[in-house]
Amino acid sequence: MSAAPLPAALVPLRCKNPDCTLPQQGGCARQAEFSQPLSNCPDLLRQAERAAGAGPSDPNQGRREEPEEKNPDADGGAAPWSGRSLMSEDVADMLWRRPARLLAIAGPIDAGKTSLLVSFFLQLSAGQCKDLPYRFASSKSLLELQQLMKRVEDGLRQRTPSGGSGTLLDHTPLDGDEEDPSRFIHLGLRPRNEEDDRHIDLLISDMSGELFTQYGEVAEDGENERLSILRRCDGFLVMVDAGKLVSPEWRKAEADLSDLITRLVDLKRGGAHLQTVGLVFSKFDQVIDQVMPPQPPARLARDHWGILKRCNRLWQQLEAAAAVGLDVGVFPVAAFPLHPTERQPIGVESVLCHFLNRVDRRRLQRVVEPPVPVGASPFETMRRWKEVS
Amino acid sequence: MDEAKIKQVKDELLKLVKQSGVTKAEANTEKMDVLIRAAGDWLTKDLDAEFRSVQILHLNTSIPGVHQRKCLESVWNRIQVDWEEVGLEAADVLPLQLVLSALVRCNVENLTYSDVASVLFHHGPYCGLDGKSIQVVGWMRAHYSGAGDLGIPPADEDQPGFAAVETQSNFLWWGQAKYSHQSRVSFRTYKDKDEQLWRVASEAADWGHLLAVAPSSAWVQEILLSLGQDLDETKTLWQWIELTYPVIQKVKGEVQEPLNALATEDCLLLPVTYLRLDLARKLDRTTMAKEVGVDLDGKLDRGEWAAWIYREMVLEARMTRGMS
Repeated sequence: MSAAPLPAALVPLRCKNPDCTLPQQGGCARQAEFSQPLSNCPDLLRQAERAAGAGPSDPNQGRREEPEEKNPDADGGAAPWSGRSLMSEDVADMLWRRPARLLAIAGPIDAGKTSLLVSFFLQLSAGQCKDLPYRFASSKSLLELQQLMKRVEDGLRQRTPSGGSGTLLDHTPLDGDEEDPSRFIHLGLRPRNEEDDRHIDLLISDMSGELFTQYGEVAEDGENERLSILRRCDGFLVMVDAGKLVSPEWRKAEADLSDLITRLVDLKRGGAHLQTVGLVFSKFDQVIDQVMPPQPPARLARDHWGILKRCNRLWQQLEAAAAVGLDVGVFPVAAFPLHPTERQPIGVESVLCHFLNRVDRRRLQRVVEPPVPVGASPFETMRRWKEVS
Repeated sequence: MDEAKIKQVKDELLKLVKQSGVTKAEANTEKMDVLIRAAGDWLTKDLDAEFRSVQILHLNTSIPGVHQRKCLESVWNRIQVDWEEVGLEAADVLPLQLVLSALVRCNVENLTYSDVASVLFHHGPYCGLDGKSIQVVGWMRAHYSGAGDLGIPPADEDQPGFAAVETQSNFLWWGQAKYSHQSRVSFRTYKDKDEQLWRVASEAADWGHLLAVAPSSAWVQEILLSLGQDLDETKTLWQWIELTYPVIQKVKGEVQEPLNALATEDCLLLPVTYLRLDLARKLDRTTMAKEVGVDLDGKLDRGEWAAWIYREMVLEARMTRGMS
């Protein structure tokens, strides 16, 4: 079948195919189909399309139109990522296509979820995560992270040496879009292991604390439909302001947290993908005079946590989580410590190390090369070696 | 420099001397005292001292005629002000290296030394240094490990805010877009991988010169990786130089002052700057090996070569524009 001649391509060249580099003197992404892409590739923008739009004879009729901005190299076009946080559908798409790891940071309002996220990003992108077996490789949410950093910066400026209320950030507002209130920050990670050349997408939930409160309180699945993506999470970090657990109102904080962990245990029992749960005591620098955190090997034992061991329900739920096969960790963290001499984040890296070490276990296959004797045929040698082994 | 500081430097020097094999008696000579006072004065007052002292620390004392290198000239002129009769010999270079190490470790220079010139400590392993000099450079590298790393949040109470972090965000954003602001095209359009590497690494210095060098050079390598470059491709330094020389001639970027003048005098440790200056107007291995003082047979992969180019461009940017 001979294709009808197409109108002349626009100059400068512009292509709808995101993989095409023809406009930059590269190659046509569909070179296998169209040997003369300038005259017959339907992805190139052409004179008639621009003047009259796609008409009935348009060879693209019926095809899904890709937005022009998808081409990352088109001059004047936008980047293929907006820099904003990702929505559920982007995340679902990413989970299908690439090695992606999904982490939800859960906890009540003002637990410090966003601060932890910002602090981790700052450390990672500045190359300060020496123990993390990954380094920063990309982010589709840079703009969002910049805005979060701005909020942290403003919070730091206003923070008094005493810490005031202990709140660094205005809490993350609930999105107006009720259909999809879930937002995710994307971080691309590259393993430090030179034999591992993957680009791993780490997706971290950046959701309002109110949502998680509802998530813990409401047991019916239908009510939590909009948080369905969380069922696909590899791990949960359950965060609580350590100051609230040592305050007189500790029972309320403990109850909220226990409900949340109960839901996670139920999720796991229901067959969810969840692998790890981390309990993060945030703003720990503010309670350090009341509770001295134990060394990592002893952190799962409640007896080592001083006053915090009184949270019976919480520790019981953690034990229940471990019993259903979840990998449990407990972490004292100060994302932005108050004390002037300790302005560096404390414990942030270890939380993410715990998560990634659990959810990104990968055994690399050793490359086996049969020795080929001098003058022998490599194929013959390989066949014999295979038969023997 | 007051007497207390001199005593502190001498104590530090004795610690270094003990490890380097130089005797205590040698360390306590009058000549050593002169070296400490004069070199200390030079470090605090001479604008080029910061850069030159790193070069001096990387001098291979086993090479004949090493004491005649131009990088020693300014410090030795200063020493001769205090002691006219002193004559520079090859045997004086190691004591001078020890004194400079002790001075810097005692923060005598009190300059932005660590920010600007620490970039060059990454080139040390290629200098073919002998035992004692390796120790000296090793101490310095240990002293500056992590130099220039960002504090989060900034440790300086007088400078609240995330100025450096904003620079870092812009650097990340630039790298991810893979768009050359200098050439106004995507880096993908450069089909010659060596030209692409050069353009990415050199332009990156514009964006990243205020940032810590190790993580920012890792980011440069990540950009190249995402552009499809094979970062594991290994060649000798000379082979990389041969591949890059035509690109540099094509691009024709001038070396900015003050690095231009300093490197024209003595280009020790700076093969990329040497190529850019093109003083010999041709690529001659023997001349270049002598001028830059690094082992041209040393092997490094494409990623390491990109990082090397980036570091020299960062040095130039820091020396020209400063650290603020």
